[in-house]
Amino acid sequence: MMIGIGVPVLLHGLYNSFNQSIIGLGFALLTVLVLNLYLARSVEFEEALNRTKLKGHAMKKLILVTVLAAAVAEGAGAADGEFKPLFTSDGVPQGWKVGHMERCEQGRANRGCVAGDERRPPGQ
Amino acid sequence: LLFATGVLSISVLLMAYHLPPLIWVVQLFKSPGQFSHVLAYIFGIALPEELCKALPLFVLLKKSDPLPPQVMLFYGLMSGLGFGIYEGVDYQMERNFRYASSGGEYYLLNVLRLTTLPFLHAMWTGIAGYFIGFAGCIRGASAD
Repeated sequence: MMIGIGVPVLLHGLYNSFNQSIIGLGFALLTVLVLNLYLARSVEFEEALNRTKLKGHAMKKLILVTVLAAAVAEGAGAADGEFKPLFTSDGVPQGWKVGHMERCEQGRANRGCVAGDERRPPGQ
Repeated sequence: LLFATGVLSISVLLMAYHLPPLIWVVQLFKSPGQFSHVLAYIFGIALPEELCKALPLFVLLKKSDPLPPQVMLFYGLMSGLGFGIYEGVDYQMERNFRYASSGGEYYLLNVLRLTTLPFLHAMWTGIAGYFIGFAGCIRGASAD
């Protein structure tokens, strides 16, 4: 916007200052040249505009993902009544129970019950 | 747009010349230095005129969705042309009578004024319109 007002103001002011001499003609021709230059370079300007748009979309996606991740983390913490990170230090998601292989085998033998739990009645 | 620029913007401009910032700047014409004259022409004549010519473009930018820079350039050309023609006719009706010493000179002044200045004004406002449109598109892209 500053360039939009500044460039014509400068050209206009300089033309008015020197319009009694041949230099004024130079500034008038410079005005024509500047306008033609902008028109000739308009493709590059539009490419720059599209890049700005793409950058804006990418930034919006990044913000959305960050907000969603923060919401999930907050939800996981709120479910336990305190804040916890999404993953434990072992790299396992919070809330998942991790046991040993032997206990897993024992659980299978006991029809899905691990040691210490009540044994399920048959048929359930 | 031609009508808006020719009548409304020039009315605003003429009123603005009676208000403090422009009254002070125009005083620079009385000082003898060439540099102060250049400053007076830039800030006392060019800046208010360009802002007045760009006024319809700002209104257009506010009232409608962002238009492509080329469309704003076209509207800028029309706005500047309207201003230039209005100014040219004003010179023809008033000042050229005082400047010219004969009928032939008056005719020459009118031809020069009406065949050069309206198109220069159009180009200056066209440049402004292109960048105002560009700024509107960038603002629209960041607001989406």
